[in-house]
Amino acid sequence: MIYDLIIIGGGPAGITAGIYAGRQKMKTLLITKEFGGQTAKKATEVCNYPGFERISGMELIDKFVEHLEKQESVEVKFSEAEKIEKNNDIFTIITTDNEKLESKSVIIATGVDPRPLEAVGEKEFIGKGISYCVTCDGPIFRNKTIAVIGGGNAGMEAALFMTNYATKIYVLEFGPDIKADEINQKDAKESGKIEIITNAVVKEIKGENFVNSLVYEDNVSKDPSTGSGQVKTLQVEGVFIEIGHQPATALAKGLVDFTKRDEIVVENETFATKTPGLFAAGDNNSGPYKQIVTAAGEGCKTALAAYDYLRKLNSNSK
Amino acid sequence: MKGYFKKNNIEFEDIDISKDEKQLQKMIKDSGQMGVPVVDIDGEIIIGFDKEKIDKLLKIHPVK
Repeated sequence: MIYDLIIIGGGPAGITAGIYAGRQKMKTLLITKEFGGQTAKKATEVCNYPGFERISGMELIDKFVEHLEKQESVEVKFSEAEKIEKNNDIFTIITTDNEKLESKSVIIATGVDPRPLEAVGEKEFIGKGISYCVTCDGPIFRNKTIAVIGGGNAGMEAALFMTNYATKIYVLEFGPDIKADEINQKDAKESGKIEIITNAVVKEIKGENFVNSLVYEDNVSKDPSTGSGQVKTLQVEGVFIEIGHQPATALAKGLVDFTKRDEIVVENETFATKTPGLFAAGDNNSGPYKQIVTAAGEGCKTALAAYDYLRKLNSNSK
Repeated sequence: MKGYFKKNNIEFEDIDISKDEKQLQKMIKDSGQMGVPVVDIDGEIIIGFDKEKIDKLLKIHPVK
């Protein structure tokens, strides 16, 4: 079985591509570990998707998925794509279970993964107090003291979301200033629960079975002669890491060019990569403005571009 | 994951641990960790949407 199109990824870009492919009656397979991507995991509140003045990322994704499920020519496979190969106009997608799936065109809509902090104890305590997903795991920390690492908008919005649950929230920022928008900073101040610590370099996350403390170095007190600052400990039971993302693009190695930040280089009209028939939509490509609505728009364009590509391919082979 | 169960006609009880402190503590105790989702299939605890394990325990054959 050779599909017309395989879409890799189940966030706004991948789902929209699936809806458009379905409407073009393309024989399509959408491969994803789960639906939602960063929209479900990070978007506590979406206020800029047309038609929805205020909706949670999870609710918005539920609506997207409902819409996708109406497309008869689109199958969904819950799996993870690991590698893409191309031989004689046919792409082969190899999954982590070593399954090989074939298609005439491919849209990579894998989005981004959270950037790890790379502090001691981080890997050990994932799921045991450390989380990268505030909307998933936030409610578990009801009545607890927690820390959010990262003072950008993502970090501040995570901290504000946690004011619904936690008793006290520390926000630790590596740099000397908080980069979050004024409105987020103002809301944080007014919450009475959020304490911001700048110039904080997280060194270690400690615990027994679960996290119980976090150790950081205070850069302000840094002694120029020794290069080290005062080491401080916070008693926290939860740590949310919100220091940005990295594109999930390793699977496309060999078929695409990458930017310095590992984003897939695309041509900016149809989001085609340098390999004919291979497209990249959403947060993983080199375009600016990583938004839900732009990801959806790119999903649409790539599906239509894949459709045009297939028509040309078929007429050439006749 | 809920969609996956529905698609395969699996009956399930949906527990919202953000609203039920007792069930939250039970989940942490049973799974030895604090992340969601957690599924309990006849006493077997599965952390995250581990499709392979879920398919095996529920004898789901992937539908094409």
